[in-house]
Amino acid sequence: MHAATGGPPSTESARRAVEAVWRIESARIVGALVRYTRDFELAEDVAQEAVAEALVTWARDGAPANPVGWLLATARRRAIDSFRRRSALDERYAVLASQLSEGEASSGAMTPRDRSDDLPWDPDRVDDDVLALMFVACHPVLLPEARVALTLRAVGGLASEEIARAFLVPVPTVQARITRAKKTIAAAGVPFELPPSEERRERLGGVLSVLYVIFTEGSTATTGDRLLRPDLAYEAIRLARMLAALLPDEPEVYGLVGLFGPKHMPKEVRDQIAADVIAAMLAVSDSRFQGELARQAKDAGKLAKNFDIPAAHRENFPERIASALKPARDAGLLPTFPFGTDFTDVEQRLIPALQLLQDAQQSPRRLPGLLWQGFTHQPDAADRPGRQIVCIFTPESRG
Amino acid sequence: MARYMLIMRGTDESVAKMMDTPFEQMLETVGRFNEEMIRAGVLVAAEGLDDPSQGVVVDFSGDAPVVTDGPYGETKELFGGFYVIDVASKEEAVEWAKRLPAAAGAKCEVRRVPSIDEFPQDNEWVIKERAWRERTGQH
Repeated sequence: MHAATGGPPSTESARRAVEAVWRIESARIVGALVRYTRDFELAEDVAQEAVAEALVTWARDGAPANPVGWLLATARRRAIDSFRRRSALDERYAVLASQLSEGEASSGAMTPRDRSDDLPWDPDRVDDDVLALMFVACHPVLLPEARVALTLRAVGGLASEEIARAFLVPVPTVQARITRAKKTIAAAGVPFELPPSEERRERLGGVLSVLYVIFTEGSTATTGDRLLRPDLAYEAIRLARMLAALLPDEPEVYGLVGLFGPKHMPKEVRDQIAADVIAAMLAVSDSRFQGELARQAKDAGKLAKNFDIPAAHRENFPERIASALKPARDAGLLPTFPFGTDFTDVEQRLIPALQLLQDAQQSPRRLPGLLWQGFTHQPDAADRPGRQIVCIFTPESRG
Repeated sequence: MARYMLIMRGTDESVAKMMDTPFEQMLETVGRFNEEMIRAGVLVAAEGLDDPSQGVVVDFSGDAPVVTDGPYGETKELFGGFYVIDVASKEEAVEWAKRLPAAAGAKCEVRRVPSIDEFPQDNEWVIKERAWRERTGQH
């Protein structure tokens, strides 16, 4: 089988095929390799070597039937070679050491677990591997720009050249950044695991901010040939969606995905929608403040300079609204608190009663009548809690 | 970044195969594949279609549209459902298509879905559609 688009194998078709598979699988391949080797730097290196080998071999023989298995097997072989080299060095050293000190233990080199299974990775662990990879790449021991580069490289599967083009920095700068980052991770002994629960929230925030930086770089890029620059905004969205799928219970991740949505729009569309929303809000605003609000929106460039609030919406005064609503209110069609209230049922009964009392105080003739009513009226059970609250003496309390 | 539609085309052979597969097993296989796409952050939309015999065909061959029951008699490959994915390249879309849990005999057509960015941005209908897409949270 040839590369995705068919035709005879060629350098170009191999590159495209490798790229396609690598984009889909890089995080899982690197994640599985880190778990396998327990060495982030080695895993990343052997994964890159496998990609380089694929470019050559696939160009000659066409893409294999199982490209993922091929990449993983090749990387694993490279990892084993590396272990052999190291343990050979260690053993030579061990021989010397034992000759000198008579029977010291040899070789501390780790040997990879023997994995004869055909599964490219452990399906039960792959999610955790990818997640752990994200957390390691965004680890706080790294400088912010190193986190960004390493995330794009190890999780996003971008080549150093692509990252360099995206950030308009020289390729060696990116390579050095990634190499330094990997050394830092090794030196700090950062474990390949999910952060413990007490650190989880903070570390997740770290991952999200890296994705946000990648996104903003992509969506605000104003220099450079956009066609040549990898779409960083897209990468950030893809990584955020991956994260959301892996951590479905973390609202912050969805928050980030949501944030990417509107921001991802071209500015003119965003502004058009903002102007529509502002116009609609102005139409229902209190008319005493409409002019000032419209002026601020215009000054901020969010509303067309020649925008006028339609005449029909320029009389939103409390009095006018109250008088317009009066018939409905008098007919008892409107609730006292149209948008809900925290007052208890008892308090809601009390409020109109107190209002009545207050009004009555304005008119000396009504007050005695009301008092008389209060003395003679036999309160029912529902009145009692209200009377207790305002400490009105009840007919019973007189006796 | 580009969107591609993976159009599932069933044939008599693949439909018969699918009918033989226990429903639970089919759900599991398709579910796993969908989950893969979700985890890779590429899935945008996916729908499967009901039995073609329950559909109707509106034929525009004549002066007026003619409505007939069921699928076209001569059609050998029936549109059974689709995926829309958001990927970096055509090759990546093809790579996903190759992984589809499709029954033998089935086919999948991979077609690019042009973005609204590719239409003239000063056209009033494009502006309206763009606003609608944004309001409804689409691409």
